[in-house]
Amino acid sequence: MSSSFALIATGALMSVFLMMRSKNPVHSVFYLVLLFLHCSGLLVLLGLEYFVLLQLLVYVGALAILFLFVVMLLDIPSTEILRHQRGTYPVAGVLGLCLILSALLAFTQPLVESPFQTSPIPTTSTFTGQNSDFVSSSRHYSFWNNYRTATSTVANLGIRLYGVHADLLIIRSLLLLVAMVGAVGLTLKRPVSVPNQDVFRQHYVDFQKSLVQIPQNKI
Amino acid sequence: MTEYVGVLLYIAIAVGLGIVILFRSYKVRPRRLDLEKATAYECGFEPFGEARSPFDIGFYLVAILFLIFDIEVAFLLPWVLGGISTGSSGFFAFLLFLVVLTIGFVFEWQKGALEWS
Amino acid sequence: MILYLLIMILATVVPLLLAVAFLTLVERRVMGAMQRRQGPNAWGLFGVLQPFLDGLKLLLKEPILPSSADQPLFLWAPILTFLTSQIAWAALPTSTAGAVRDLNLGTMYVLAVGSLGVYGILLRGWRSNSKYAFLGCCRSVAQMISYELPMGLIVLCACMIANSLNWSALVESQQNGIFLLPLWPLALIWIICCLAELNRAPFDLPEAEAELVAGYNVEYASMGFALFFIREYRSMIMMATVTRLLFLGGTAAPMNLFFLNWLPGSFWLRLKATSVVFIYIWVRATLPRYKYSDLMDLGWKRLLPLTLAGFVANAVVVFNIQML
Repeated sequence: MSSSFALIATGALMSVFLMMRSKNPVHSVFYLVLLFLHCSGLLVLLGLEYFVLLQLLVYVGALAILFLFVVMLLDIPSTEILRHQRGTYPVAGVLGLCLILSALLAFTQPLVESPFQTSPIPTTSTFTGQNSDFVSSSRHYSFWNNYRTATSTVANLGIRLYGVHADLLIIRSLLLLVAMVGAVGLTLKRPVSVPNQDVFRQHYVDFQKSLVQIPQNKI
Repeated sequence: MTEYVGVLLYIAIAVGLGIVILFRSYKVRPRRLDLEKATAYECGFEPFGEARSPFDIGFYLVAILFLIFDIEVAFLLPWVLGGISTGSSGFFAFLLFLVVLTIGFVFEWQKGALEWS
Repeated sequence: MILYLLIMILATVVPLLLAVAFLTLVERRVMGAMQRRQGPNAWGLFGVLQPFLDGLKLLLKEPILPSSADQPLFLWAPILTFLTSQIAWAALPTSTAGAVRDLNLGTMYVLAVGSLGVYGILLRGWRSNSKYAFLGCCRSVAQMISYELPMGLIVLCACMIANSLNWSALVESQQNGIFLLPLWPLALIWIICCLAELNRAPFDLPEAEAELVAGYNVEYASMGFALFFIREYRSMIMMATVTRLLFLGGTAAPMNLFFLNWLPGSFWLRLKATSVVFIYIWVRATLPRYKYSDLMDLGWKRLLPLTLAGFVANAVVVFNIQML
């Protein structure tokens, strides 16, 4: 079990290094896709199948394509990339030191109860005893205990998302609305009026009446 | 979770098969390089000008709209399995979610963001 | 277990490659018959050796590698397209024995892999160094992603009725009545979306441009081209199979008569998938091509609102039935 974790984590780290090292932005985006795939592998190891497919669907299938579109359509010459990169080395060095330090601390320090612990979505396929105690004891969830009949992760997610945290769902929909409005506001250009034929109107033209014979004066 | 081992095996076999199919032809017929063959094809002329045209922003807009609606589909996926058992209040949350997104869609439509996409 | 997996995988890969080979022949002959001419019938009985000879010809052609430094990406593009169209078959049940891996989230898996299919095309266009080819491939990619949205929503409608994302569960829940009966408008929209997703039939403007102008297929000779071709036909078969699984009862016999059940489930799946593929070829031979702006219009302004409305209607009906 932990050998597969080590393998996938190493692969993820390697793809990160390759992504940061490569001079060609298109290569970088493909290494980013590789990184997403490795993270999906880590999620598979955690048993969260829905999030694996969610990441493939949304991140790899939509977001990375967006990145690819932008990178491929903006032809950035590599000299310009190198010119911007040289100034960032000190900052990158400091941040890298912080990363290494935090990783070391995470390995060496004992586990502490986090103050941010919310009710966990059960990752196993059935409710364990501990979870149900936690869930039924808090008043917040007692209304939804009647609906605890589902046994899969996604079904539980559905009950939580649309039942318990419906307010967050509406906030997310507002967020997507803001994203739509923002995208339109950023990218809209004046629509050019090009003479385009309306197919349905063309079908309704009565061609018997479209030509009119003008009486000619006989010379 | 162990179901995905099969998928991983499938991916490995498919990659191997693709590589075998691709490289069979290299073994069968070796390459004979020619200057004409190696340059880019542009209707028989010499390739002139930059290889890229100015950025057409319509593609970016289509990609962002696709991303937004893809996320919406991803939010509708838990509804399919577990949302129905949330009762009327869950159903109205679902309807409200879709109404807000429909408002955004109507806004885009009226703004003409979906034209000439 | 690994041996079992290997056998199941090969049992999907090898017949699929043969099916793709014969599909090229079937398409040419059927289109010929619809155009009152004969398709290839010279080699073998009714031309059955033709696809193998085509493959042999492609194998013997000299492969062309461009002189630029980006060779790894160039080589990865056909492998990527081949890969993404192949691994979607891991979750589809091709017989009553089930899929290679009967994933609990099989429908979502197929949707995700369908989204990945875009990468091969994007890479293909990027590698061809002419701007027209690349723009053509960008338009093709934009078309594919636009039609993936109604497809996802229609799959979710069917899954809502079956109350599961598993393909085998979808097939089983169609025992009392196939989903075509309640969902026939969505089935029509689904077939249109399949055609647009495959860059086929009335929606193949980017491909048609490729024939006229440089095109994004030009830099690939020999087996690279063959891999793209295989991908296109295999995706066609996959979409047909998915159509059958979603709407027409998958591996079940049409009527629950006992003697029809003697024939294996895979036979019925193949028969129905073949009829859907025949519909694809029929549409290609019949309808004229859409302009690109009309195509995107159809996808965003007509199919997506219709599908969203259909999804809400479906949710209302299923919700009320479950609440009773």
